[in-house]
Amino acid sequence: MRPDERLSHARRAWIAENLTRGVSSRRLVDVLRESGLTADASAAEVESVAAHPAVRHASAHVSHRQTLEALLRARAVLYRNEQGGSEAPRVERRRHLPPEEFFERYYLRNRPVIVEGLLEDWPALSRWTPEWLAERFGDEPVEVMAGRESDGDPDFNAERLRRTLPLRELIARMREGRETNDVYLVARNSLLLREAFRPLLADLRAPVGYIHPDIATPDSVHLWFGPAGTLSNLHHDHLNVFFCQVLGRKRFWLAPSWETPWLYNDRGLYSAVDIRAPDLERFPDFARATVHTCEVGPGDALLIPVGWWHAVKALDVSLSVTFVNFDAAARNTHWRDYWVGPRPEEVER
Amino acid sequence: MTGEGGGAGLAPEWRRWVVENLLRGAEEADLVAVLEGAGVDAEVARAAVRAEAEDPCFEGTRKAVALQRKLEGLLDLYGDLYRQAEGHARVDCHEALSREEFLDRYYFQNRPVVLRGAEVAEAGRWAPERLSMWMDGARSVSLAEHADLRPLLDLLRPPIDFGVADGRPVLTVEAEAAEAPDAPVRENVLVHQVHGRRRFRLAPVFELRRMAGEPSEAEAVPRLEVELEPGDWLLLPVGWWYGYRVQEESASVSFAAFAGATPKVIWEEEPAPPEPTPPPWHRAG
Repeated sequence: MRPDERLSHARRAWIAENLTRGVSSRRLVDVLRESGLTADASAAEVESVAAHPAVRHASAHVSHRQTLEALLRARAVLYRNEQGGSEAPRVERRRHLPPEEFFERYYLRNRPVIVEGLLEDWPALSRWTPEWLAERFGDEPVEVMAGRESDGDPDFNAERLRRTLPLRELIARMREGRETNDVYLVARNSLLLREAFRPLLADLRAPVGYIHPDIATPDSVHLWFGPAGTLSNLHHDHLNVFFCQVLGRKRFWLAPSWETPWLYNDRGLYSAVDIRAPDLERFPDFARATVHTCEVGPGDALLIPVGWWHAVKALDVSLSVTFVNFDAAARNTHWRDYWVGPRPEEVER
Repeated sequence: MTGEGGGAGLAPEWRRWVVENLLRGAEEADLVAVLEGAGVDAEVARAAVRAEAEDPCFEGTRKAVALQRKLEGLLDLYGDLYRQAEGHARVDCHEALSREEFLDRYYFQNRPVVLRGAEVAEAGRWAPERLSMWMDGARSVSLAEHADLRPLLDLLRPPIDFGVADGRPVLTVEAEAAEAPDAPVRENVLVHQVHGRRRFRLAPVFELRRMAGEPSEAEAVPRLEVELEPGDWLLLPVGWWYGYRVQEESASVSFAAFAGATPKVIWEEEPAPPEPTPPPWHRAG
């Protein structure tokens, strides 16, 4: 497409999307005029898009969409009232939390919680250091996501960033000490599925009553390893994740699942908002989001409830383990229809 | 079968059919097959379906539809979590409940609860025949605005300080066998039964799609049932749906819960239209 065709295409898609969301035609005409179009051209463009069969068909559901979003807004206000209004919302920190209460009070209520000291019996807490890993597994090739800093959308584009290098080299890069988001070994790199790294499972313990004891099941446990400075920008997961911090500290930003309409979810399960510098002019609804911040350190376990938006930054060289099979009748609870738009491989480069 | 301009496009009704099915997630190849079966030339069918799929109006609509479907999926998720909780199919009833437990387990969890109250003070003053005299035939009156009935407010003994007087208390008198059809709960409401009995049926928040849909869909929604007797207090949580049948001539007072607190938790009936998403072109300046 030529540049002017691309712009026209994007403009019409934008109008169609917003008409379907229930934005008034008048408001769209105003925005188009602000961009330089004449009043007549703006009105004609909006009218022609409104007449398209797709827009006409979908418009029947506008009122239901409004009702649904209003319902989620009411929930958000109720939650803020519970959090105490003007105070910064907090993620509860508990110690010696009985499994029954973990499920009843947090998991089933779709609320986060940090359980301190839950990993005290993990050999990993004392054994796993970059030095030890380099010594024990240094020659093994590991897959990581690399070149993240030069990709505009490294989380969405993760699939094309896979690279393989010896663990020793990865660790040497991390020990350079600089903060960097360029290389990150993430769950998708499936380190624990590799035969050579299976012994690491022996250094973990499924927290009793929380996590299903069979951690040898493929894809029930994942490892995350990265330098200080890795950042997973705002996104949500489609199931509950139990995030266990082994080495180093990570900072989390969390926003509730019911605030999804304010999170500018424009692709997949990612937000268009950059947590490092949220552009409130471009994304004004984000100012309404109830952003919780917290830090997890060695021995802490954080429940990231399904659907909760979060961003994660490593403050130190960091090793984390995540579990997705809980010790409950249903191993997890999933958000269906959670992916918006084309999959990364379908997106035109 | 095809529109004007010879083989170049489909008739309007076929275009609509293609577009609606693409929005539902149908595969292009399947739509082409149906068109071919209806006599459309294979190449024309393929090109026409492709053209609709690439149309920016379709693209934009599909994105908005996908997000709506996602939000409906979120309500389904809340339903899945709710049904894993013990006692989810019934309304909890308590003889006694601390304010803290009421707030923590019910009010802020957006769940209904009944507090079985003590006897209604001066029950005789709440007798429907007596009240009707003062209500001039109206079914409901605002207690705060009604000079003669206002003193009844002082008789109320809520087990917890719900802020009755601030909450626009409404007195309602209903004859036996009267029925209230399903209605949405627009703000947290406390209902106090002072005379007679009513059987309530409640539907949870996440059942929105069916409750707001066809009557047959709403009927299929499993309800939580609870019967209110004199002295009982029921929390109707915002976002839920409720209906009831009057089992025995009823007098009741309902009011917005914690109305003095702000911001108000309201499920708007006619929400303002949303603001546009950020436009895809760069801002000038």
